[in-house]
Amino acid sequence: MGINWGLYTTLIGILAVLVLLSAMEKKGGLDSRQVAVIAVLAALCAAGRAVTGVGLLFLQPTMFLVEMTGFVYGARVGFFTGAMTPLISNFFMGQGAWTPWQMLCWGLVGVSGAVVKVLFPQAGNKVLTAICFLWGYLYGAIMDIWQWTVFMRPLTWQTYFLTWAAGFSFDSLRAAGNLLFSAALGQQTLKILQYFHKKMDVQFL
Amino acid sequence: MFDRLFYREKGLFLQSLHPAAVLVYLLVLLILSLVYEHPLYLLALLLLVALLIREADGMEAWEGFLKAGIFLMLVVMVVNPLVIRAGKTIIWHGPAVPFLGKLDISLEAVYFGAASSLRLLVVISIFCLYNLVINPDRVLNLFSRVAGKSVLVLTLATRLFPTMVRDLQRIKEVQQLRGVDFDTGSLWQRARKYSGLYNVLLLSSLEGAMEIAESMQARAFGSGRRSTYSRNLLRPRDLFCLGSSVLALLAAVWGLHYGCGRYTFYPEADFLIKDGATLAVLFIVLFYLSVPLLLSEGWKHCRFLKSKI
Amino acid sequence: MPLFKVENLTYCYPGTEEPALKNISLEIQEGEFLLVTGGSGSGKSTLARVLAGLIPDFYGGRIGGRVFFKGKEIRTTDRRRLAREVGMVFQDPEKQIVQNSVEAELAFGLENLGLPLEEMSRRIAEVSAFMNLSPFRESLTANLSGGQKQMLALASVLAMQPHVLILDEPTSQLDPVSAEEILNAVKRLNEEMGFTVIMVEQRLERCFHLADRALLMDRGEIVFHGSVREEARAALSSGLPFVPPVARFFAALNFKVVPVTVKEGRELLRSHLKGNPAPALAATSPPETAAPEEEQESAISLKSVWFRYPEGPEVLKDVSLDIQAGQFTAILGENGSGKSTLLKIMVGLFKPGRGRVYVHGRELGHCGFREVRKFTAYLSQNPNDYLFQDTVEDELLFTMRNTGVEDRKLVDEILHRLQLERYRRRNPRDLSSGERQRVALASVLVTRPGLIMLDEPTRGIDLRLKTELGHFLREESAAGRTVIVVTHDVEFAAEFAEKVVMLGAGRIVTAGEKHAVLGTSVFYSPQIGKLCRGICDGVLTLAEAQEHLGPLLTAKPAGLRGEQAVWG
Ligand SMILES: Nc1ncnc2c1ncn2[C@@H]1O[C@H](COP(=O)(O)OP(=O)(O)OP(=O)(O)O)[C@@H](O)[C@H]1O
Ligand SMILES: Nc1ncnc2c1ncn2[C@@H]1O[C@H](COP(=O)(O)OP(=O)(O)OP(=O)(O)O)[C@@H](O)[C@H]1O
Ligand SMILES: [Mg+2]
Ligand SMILES: [Mg+2]
Repeated sequence: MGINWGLYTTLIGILAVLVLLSAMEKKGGLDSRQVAVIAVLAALCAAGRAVTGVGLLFLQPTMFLVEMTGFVYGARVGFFTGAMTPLISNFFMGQGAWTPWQMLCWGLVGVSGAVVKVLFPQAGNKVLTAICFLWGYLYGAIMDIWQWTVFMRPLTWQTYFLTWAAGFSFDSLRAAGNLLFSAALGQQTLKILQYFHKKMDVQFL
Repeated sequence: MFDRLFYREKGLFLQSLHPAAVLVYLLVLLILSLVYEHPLYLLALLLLVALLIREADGMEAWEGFLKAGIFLMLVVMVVNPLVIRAGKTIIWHGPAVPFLGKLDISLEAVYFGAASSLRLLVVISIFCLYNLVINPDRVLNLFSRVAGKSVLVLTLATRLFPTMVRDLQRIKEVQQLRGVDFDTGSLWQRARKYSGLYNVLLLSSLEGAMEIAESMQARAFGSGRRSTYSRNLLRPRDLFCLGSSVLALLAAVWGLHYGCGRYTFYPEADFLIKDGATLAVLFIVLFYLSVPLLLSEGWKHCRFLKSKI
Repeated sequence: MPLFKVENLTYCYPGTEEPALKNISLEIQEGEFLLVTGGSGSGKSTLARVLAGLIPDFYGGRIGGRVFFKGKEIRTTDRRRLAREVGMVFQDPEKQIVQNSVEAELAFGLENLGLPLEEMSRRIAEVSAFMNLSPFRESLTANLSGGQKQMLALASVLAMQPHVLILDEPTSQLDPVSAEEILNAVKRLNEEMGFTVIMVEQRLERCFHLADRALLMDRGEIVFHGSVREEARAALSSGLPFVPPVARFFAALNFKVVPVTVKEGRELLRSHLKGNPAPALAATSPPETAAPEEEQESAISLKSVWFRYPEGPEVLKDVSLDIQAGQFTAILGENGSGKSTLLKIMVGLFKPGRGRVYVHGRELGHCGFREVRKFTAYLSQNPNDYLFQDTVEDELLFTMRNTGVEDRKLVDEILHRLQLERYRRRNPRDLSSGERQRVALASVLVTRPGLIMLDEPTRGIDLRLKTELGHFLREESAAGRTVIVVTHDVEFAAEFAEKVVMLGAGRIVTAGEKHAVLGTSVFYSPQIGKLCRGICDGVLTLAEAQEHLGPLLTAKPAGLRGEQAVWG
């Protein structure tokens, strides 16, 4: 047990988030509209996460919103919105060593939306809903990596599986929540986001 | 509950430290809590953090954090003995289980589980302390030099967050008076009612975003390189904290080099106190780490110290 | 060389066909105080954005014609240079503040300009001293009151030390005292520090006397441009309402020289009434309806109500109030005095901590709004809270459906009454702020409720619409419906309400017939009231002034008649 994986995974999470954020920030720079939209959407997601996260267990109307942000506004805005969501809600629920990994996961959710846009430009709410459902489990699986390396010894597949199994019911709840919310609200959300996307495009004539 | 930050300004000594000093100090604490395996060391860290939390007037908040951590602690305590086969002293011979093999619970594994959950406790407490003593706004200010825009997004979002919770409340009230009952009807009907609520919030918020962007644009945002306005003051107390944190880390590394702070659980658990060095290193590290605590006490009770730091 | 020079400017927002500005030509001189006024949707804000360089830079769209700033075309000017010279303050302080702490907010613009730290510290210290924000430098922006937030928004622009200040309705949500404070600060900047000020404003009584020149806009065009006196005359002669009440009063009496300030008006009144017997005092005659009022049923009655938000200070303290059925009541008071909270308690959204609330004789229980909403219209402070359907009509039908009635005739009627028929099929989110306000109003009034409670329905609405709204509410009240309006607009309250309740720091300061309350107040007094104070006490509205003073002023000896002219 010479190597302390708990420390390393935590540091890897922090580094990855920092590198990704600064890379995204440097590339082209964000203009005032993007800054404001990211902030508003992230605050909205964080509010959704904080308010319903406590009240409705893990049924949160947040993950699908992050994904759709990525889908409509592209990878950069998607990643930023996603990454900021846990960071902000944790200002109110309490920060922890878990924050960087959460940021990473949520950021990836946003990026996945943008990837869908690139692969299937015509994709509608159904595709996004399916992916969102998958993310419910994927998110749990990724977060478990952190928990496992920090709190479990020895680091074997069995312990990882057990950690994952312990969180399975929560993951299922999360996935179900994503499915429900995305199915119910996805269509209108897409419409609203696209309406504002049009407004954000400055066109000179 | 969510219409204000977790952090409260209470004018405490610990809150007046430079955020960089506190961050370094907490980072050292965190690193040590992750590196140390020795239960005694972990226990000492826990005690120190608990005292600091009390100093930061946060016992209530701590309780909340601990309650949230209990589930995780239980998982750690149960899973470890179930899977670890390295222990020698078997206290219970269980049946064979498909995936895990034979369930033999050893005393060492139980012991290790307990030590791990102790570490978890320390980590949670450190973050509780973080939330109590660091004003998020000042941390953001600290980082705005390196990552201006991300920090700006974050600042703006933290400012908007409570507003949004209030907006949601107001929109709900308005709909209730327009005849919408949120707690009657089938699940589907209810979901539809809430979706209306969410629509209004999303629309209004995005409209607000455009207005904020306009105001930022009018104040020359994005017109070139930004500079940063730093509001943090550096006082002797911050240097003390920084110095002692670094010294503590060095002492700890030096100690670890000679095995102080390491601990073997398997196949048989070590003695808790193997030799004098174990205690000596623990004492030195703990002394350096308790500098902020001592300063805080001194600041409260000694007028001379108060004027000097 | 003029500071701004606009030549044949025509502008369309992206995605619209109708130009928001049509053929505008304009010159603005250095050091001027220009007032821009006009109906809602007439393009005032658009013009302000053009001058601040936000159009087309931020909005895009189609633009024709040219705009020069200091002889240089504005589109080719470096944005940073422009921002150093031209500062713009917007309407809603909530939507301008970016940072968490006051000091950081002041620094925001300076950081964007890339200034060094010492320079920033100096400017922040200066501007916070000038705007009296020094005590709040460390506080969180979220904890400031509405007036302080607006001050902060202004200060954070001033910190950038511009030469030109453009203000888009900076006082529409402020109580009269805070508004006065902001306007005085602006006046000082203009007079003592040589700032050029361009101010968009609908509430003329507040700022008409400050301006040098006025610009009157209508449907994207400049209808009039000249000194404020000429503006008053031109607007009056073409029947437009964009004149302060003082000027309207004298103009209606065919005076040749129309005063635009209270001071001038009082001098004129004094000189005309010299030697004449003091006019009858309206206030001394008690309202004749006082006695029968006692017997009327009270629609809402509060019995020593106390209220606090969780974790907040006490917002309402020992409030007792009786509102008779069929009465038109206005609630006035400073920002944060608890007016909106009081309204929410009356509709049963909040349950008072102590005390009781009776609506039509029945005590409100825990979820009081359930009982109340069948016969109540409640308009919150923010009309955007109401708009989420695809069309204006759906918005009205949504409320109807929820209450179980569905009557197209009522929808048609209310759309007609509020002049919204044109927008029936439009998306409410595409409308201007004044129009949105009316849609929100229509969506709560569509069920023809007996109890109408409105929270600041006049904000951002132009004079014409405000008068219409006032008449509408008066008719409703005459038809036996109870109307309660929370407002900062003293003119509106004086003109249309019957009863006025003044709230201060969570307590009822005074309540009673409007003449009794507003006639004795200094700050919460309409302009006509200020004009007649000490000359003919108790007069509040234009009609009253004309009734009481008109005969005295027109029945002049022949010697004084020379001053009168022949227009009107
Ligand atoms: N962002 C926008 N996109 C499209 N149209 C707009 C936009 N902003 C304003 N308009 C339209 O341009 C016209 C002029 O609007 P503007 O905001 O300048 O009016 P205003 O005189 O300031 O009105 P108000 O008194 O209500 O503020 C209106 O018809 C409005 O609907
Ligand atoms: N949801 C809330 N939670 C905590 N405090 C609140 C809340 N809403 C309002 N307050 C506080 O209660 C006080 C009264 O607020 P209220 O909105 O009733 O004032 P108001 O008279 O309507 O002001 P304004 O004229 O600015 O609208 C203020 O100090 C405000 O900060
Ligand atoms: Mg406007
Ligand atoms: Mg209010």
